Amino acid sequence: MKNDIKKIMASVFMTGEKNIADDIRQGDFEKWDSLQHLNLVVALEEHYHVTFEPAEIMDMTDLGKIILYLEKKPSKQLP
Amino acid sequence: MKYLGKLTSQLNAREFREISDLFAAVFNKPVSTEQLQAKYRAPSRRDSYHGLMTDNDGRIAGALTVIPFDYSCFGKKVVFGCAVDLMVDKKYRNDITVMKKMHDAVTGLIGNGIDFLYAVPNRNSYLYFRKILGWNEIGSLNYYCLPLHASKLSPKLKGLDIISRPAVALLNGVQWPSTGAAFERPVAKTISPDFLTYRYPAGQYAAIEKSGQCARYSVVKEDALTTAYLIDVWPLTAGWLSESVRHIWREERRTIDLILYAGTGVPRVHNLFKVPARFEPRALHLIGKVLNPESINDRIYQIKNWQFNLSDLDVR
Repeated sequence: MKNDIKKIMASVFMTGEKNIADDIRQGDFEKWDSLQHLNLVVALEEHYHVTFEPAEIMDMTDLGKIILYLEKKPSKQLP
Repeated sequence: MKYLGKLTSQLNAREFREISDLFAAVFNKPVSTEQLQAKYRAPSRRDSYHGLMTDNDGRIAGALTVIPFDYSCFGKKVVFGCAVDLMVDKKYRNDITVMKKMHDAVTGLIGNGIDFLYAVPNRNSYLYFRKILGWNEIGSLNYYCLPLHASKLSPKLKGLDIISRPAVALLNGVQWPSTGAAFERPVAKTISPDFLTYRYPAGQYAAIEKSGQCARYSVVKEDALTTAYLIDVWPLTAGWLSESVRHIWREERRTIDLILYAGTGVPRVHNLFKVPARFEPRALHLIGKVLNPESINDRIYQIKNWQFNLSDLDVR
C-alpha cells in the first residue's frame, strides 16, 4: 500500500517518486499545499474507493497517517 | 493567527482596505473598498457576515463572507446566505484548517440569522467546501447561448461564421408564439425593490420591461469576446425568455459575439441553445449547507427544486 500511495502522491504533486520519502510530511514538502492536499485526497478516494471525513482529511498530514486512515476503512472499500 | 466573526457594519476603513488588498492578491483582480462596501451591504441595508483570519500583526490574511438574501422555500419565507470571496493569503495556504476555522467563525456569528448557505465556487474552493466544510452538492447549472460569432467561441467553429449571423437574424426576425406557463420551482429568491436596487446598480445593467415582465442583462468584454449575459428573466416563461433574447439581439447585435444565460430548468425556446458540457466555460456547481434544520429539509439538495440563475450570485 505504501508504494501505491507514494505513486499517487508523485502524480498529484507532479514530481518523481524518488522525491516522495517514507517520512514525507505536509509542512516539509513545498508542493504539498492545502489545495494539493485536497487533490491528493480525491485521488486516494478514487483509487481506493473510500470516502474520508473532514476531520480525517485535516489530520492526514503525513504518509504514515494516510496509511493508518486507509487501513481503518472497511476492507470492502479497499481493492 | 486569530479567527473572528464580524458584521459588515463592524468593519472599519482599515479592515476594508485589507480585505480589498487580499482580494486583489488572491483573485488577481483589483476591487475598491467602495465596491466591497456596496457588495457586502445586503438588500434592505442588512449586514453581511464575515469570518476573518488575522496574522500576527493583526492584518486580515483570510476571509469568507456570507451575504443574506430573502428566499421562498416550499412556501416558507426564509433567509439564505450566499458564501462569497473565500480567500487566504498565500503564506497561510499550507494550513488546511484555516478554511474550517474561518467557516466556524462566520457560522458562529450567523447563529439563527440564516437558514441555509449556498455557493457556486470555483474549482479550487469547491474542494474546500465539499471536503473540509462538509457542504452538499445540489447540482449543476446549465449554460444556454445564442452565438452570433461562432469562431469567437472556438476556432474549430470558424466555418460557421458565415452562417451564424444570418441564422441568428432569422431566428430572431420571427416572433414565435409564446406558450407555456411561468416556470416556477419551490426554492427561489424573493425579488423585492430592495433586491433590485442592490443587485442591479444604476448604469451597470440594462433593463427589459414589458407588461409587468422584466429582465436584466449586462454586456461584458473579456479578452476578444464580448458577451451579453442575460442575468435574470421573470416570469420565466418560454415566450418572455425568447422575447428578452430577441431584445438583446436587436439592441446589441453590432457589438456582441454571444448571448449567454446560465441557470436551472430553462424552458425550451427557439433562439437559445443548451451548451454541451464539453463547451461550457466552466462548470457551475451549486452547493449548500443547512444551518436551520427546523426551517429547511433535505429536499433543498435537489436541483430540480431550485429556480436559480446568475442573479442569485455575485458575478456578472
